Amino acid sequence: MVALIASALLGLYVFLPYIFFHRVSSLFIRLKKFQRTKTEEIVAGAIVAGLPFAATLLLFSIGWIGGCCVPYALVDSQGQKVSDYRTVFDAAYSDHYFTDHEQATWDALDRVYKRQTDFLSWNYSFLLMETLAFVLLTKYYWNLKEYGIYSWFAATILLPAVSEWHILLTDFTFPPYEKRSVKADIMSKDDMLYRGDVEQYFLDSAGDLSGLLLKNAQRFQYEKLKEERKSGVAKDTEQYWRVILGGGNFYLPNSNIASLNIRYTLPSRAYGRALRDAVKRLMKLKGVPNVSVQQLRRPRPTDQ
Amino acid sequence: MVTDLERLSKALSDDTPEKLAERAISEKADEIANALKTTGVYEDSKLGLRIRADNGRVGN
Repeated sequence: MVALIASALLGLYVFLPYIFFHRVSSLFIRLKKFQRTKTEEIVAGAIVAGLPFAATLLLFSIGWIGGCCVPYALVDSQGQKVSDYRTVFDAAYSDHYFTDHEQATWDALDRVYKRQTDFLSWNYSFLLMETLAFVLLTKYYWNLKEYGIYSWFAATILLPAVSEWHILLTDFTFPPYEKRSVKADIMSKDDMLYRGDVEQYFLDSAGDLSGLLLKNAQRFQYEKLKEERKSGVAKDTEQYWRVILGGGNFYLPNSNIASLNIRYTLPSRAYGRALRDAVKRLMKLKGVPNVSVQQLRRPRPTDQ
Repeated sequence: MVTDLERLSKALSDDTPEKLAERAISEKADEIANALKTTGVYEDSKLGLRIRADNGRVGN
């Protein structure tokens, strides 16, 4: 019975908070996955659950929480509290004790249940706050990364928890208002070159990439290029890209990906503006203050 | 591993397409400036840009 109670407490105070934290955070940010041992799971759970637990314990012990702010406000002494826990433990340890003190045990158990409910309600409230703080601090990495203390905190606490695929395959690092799209050039293991917008990525149970879903996918016609180059046709390489038919969703499993080149492109208008500003800035430094810059063509996907 | 992800993130924001293009323009800055001072125009097909020296006008 004691082992059963210990398992329930471990679940309520360590495993459940950790699962809650992981699940809620994963709605917004892909977290790193590990194939953990039981010990590693307990350590990870203890770290995540430790902070709200310590905060709740501290605030209960100094009396900041209690009275109206808990589901069951018990007015009892420290001695009563210790006596209740002792009674419940003795009853759990010995059937004989339980039989002899059945009513006292049930009364004590009722008060223990109420105290635990009070404690856990605050513990889980703090856990929710911890989870929201983690999500917000991680999501606003692009905005806060220049600040010294935050930068250290992100490098040591936040980023190690985030999947590297989330950083690579989303615009995590960039301000959302830039509206960048994530473009990938992918060389497959059967020597085909593909490109497209990364729409979604999938991870396996170990946290490794299992596949990529591309939108606007195109395949490079390398064989056609070779043949035409042999016969002296010198077309722009851009003309050898061919849209992959089939509704615009193209799934490429990781087992067929040899290499991946990822670009985070601005919308073409913003890209052109950035180039024009750069030219004007540089020419001003070189003694040509007034220049006009014209884009000869829309930037190619490979330019960006 | 900790530093790796921070470095990865920094590398991603340092090597965006527009920053790479800016670097390419920066490397050619002297060549562009000379062309603008002598002929008044510079064209780069790779970057897809035509730059004109604009006497007094503000460029588009």
